Amino acid sequence: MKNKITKEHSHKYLVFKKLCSNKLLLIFGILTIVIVIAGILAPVVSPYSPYDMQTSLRLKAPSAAHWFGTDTYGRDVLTRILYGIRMSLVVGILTAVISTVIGIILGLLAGYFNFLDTIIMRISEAMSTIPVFLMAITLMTILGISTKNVIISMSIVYIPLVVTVTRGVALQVREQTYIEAIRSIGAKWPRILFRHMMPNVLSPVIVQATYIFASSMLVEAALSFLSCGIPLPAPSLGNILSEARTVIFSSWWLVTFPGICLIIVILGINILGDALRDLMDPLSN
Amino acid sequence: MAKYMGKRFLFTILTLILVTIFLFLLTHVSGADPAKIMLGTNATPEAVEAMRAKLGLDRPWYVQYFSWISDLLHGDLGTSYYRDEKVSDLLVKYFKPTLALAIYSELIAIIIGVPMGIMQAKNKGKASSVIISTITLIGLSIPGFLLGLFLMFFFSVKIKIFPVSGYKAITEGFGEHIKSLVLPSLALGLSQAALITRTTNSAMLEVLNSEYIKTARAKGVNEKTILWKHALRNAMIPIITVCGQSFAVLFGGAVVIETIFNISGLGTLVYNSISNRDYSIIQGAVLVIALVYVVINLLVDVLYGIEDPRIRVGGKK
Repeated sequence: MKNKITKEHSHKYLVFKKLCSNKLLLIFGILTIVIVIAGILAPVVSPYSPYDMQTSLRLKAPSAAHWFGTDTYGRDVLTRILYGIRMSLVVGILTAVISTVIGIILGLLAGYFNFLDTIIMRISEAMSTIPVFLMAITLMTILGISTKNVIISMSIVYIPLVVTVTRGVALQVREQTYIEAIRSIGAKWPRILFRHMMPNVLSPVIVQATYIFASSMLVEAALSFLSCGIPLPAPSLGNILSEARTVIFSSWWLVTFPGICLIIVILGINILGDALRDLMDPLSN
Repeated sequence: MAKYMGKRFLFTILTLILVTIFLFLLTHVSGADPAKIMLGTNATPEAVEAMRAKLGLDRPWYVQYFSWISDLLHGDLGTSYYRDEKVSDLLVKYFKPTLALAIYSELIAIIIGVPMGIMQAKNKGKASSVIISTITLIGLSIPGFLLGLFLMFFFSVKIKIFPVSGYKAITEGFGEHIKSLVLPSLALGLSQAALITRTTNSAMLEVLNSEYIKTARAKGVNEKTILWKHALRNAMIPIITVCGQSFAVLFGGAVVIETIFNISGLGTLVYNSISNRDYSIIQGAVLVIALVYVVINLLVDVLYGIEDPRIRVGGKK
């Protein structure tokens, strides 16, 4: 009798198996991957330009030439959706990365230095009393409406979230013997913080980052929907829906297709986030 | 308990002070000049200077901050740049619809979320649990405004059950009032329901795994009593927390839903002020919503004390 741990018993394999066992999630996951790839390859895949207006083709229902129909300016909806997904993904990824990097630095500092802890935590607590969307829209008004400012204001909004998670883990790690040992051999704080403490906070923070990714895409869509986000004519899923709102009663395709694409992409990212959580934290099963 | 609450109260005040500093700085950093906004682009430089002096904008920023705070404490939030109305009056006028919307959405979220979460935890590993977790995930992924648009499309345009938009005050008849808020409340509340389902599920799973539940099962307490009496009571704290937080989130989320359904609440007020760059209203509205959040969190903490004696006792040290 061999008592070997086979591939079938590894944690990664179990998580993968758990994911595949939920057929519905699997289907959505595959759909997301298809949509995301189509979005990334938008300039290659789509035969039209997202800015090309043809007044003779205004508000045409889906057809063989225009799969998802055309909008109020006669632009191809499918093309605009693909470019919109590209835009949403870029904004979401940048927001997640920027807020995570700044949040980790601040969180580690707060978790390691007692005097900084009070200052950083009070400020981030005060910031989290303002609901995410309201904060984002307020910042947008103040900074001015542009794609760059969407990313800046959403990054600011999500920093407190990362700070809280990082600081929580850092407080526990700080008390570990190995940190004490490193300190006793004379390591300086930047080394302790970023080389020895950071690896420990990474896994919960990465899970949080996928959540920020999905949630910032939702916020961006809502901002653009209210014309406070990505400025026209650049397509984003939010401002496509915003334009569609005025003709919702006559042209169903203008709301339905971008709406479903948005839901599927965000669902896919959320599934990814859950899978990552299961993968990194075996106890959550 | 008194000491615990006292400390908690002090922290709340500190948080609120930080929020006011933050809001004050925001409008200052923006570089927007209220005097110019009020007078329009054609104003002469002298007129703008005179207006700045009248509004007290020529004073150093810290003097401006303290005079703003002292006005705040007297209930004076300033005057709107555009309309000749006091911000506090406007906020009172627009607060009610938003409050009604938030309450109904929260009710929907709790009524759907808590039982679904309990069912998911009870049926762990069974098909129904997988179905609930899938629905929850979908619920978390649908933006409120999109849900609003879809609901409006089906229930107001296709089958005309509910009005397309508009808000009826409770004084105009309860039936009409509820009818006007059903779709917006659903649009706002369902994603929060998903969040509450998740939290309830994980809190219940944790409790159901504990030793005393095994003991209760071993001595033959029936499953219903275990679930509703023994387990739920101990899973209550995270559930109360997430419900409290979601209430504040609803206030923030109301901006989009109110504009879609044309409800004249705080959200619409903020949205209109944004296009006018009417910072005094935005400041006031954000402050009110932050205050709602802080008060709710304080209430949640008091509830903890009532719910869990350990916290009460811990505070006595």
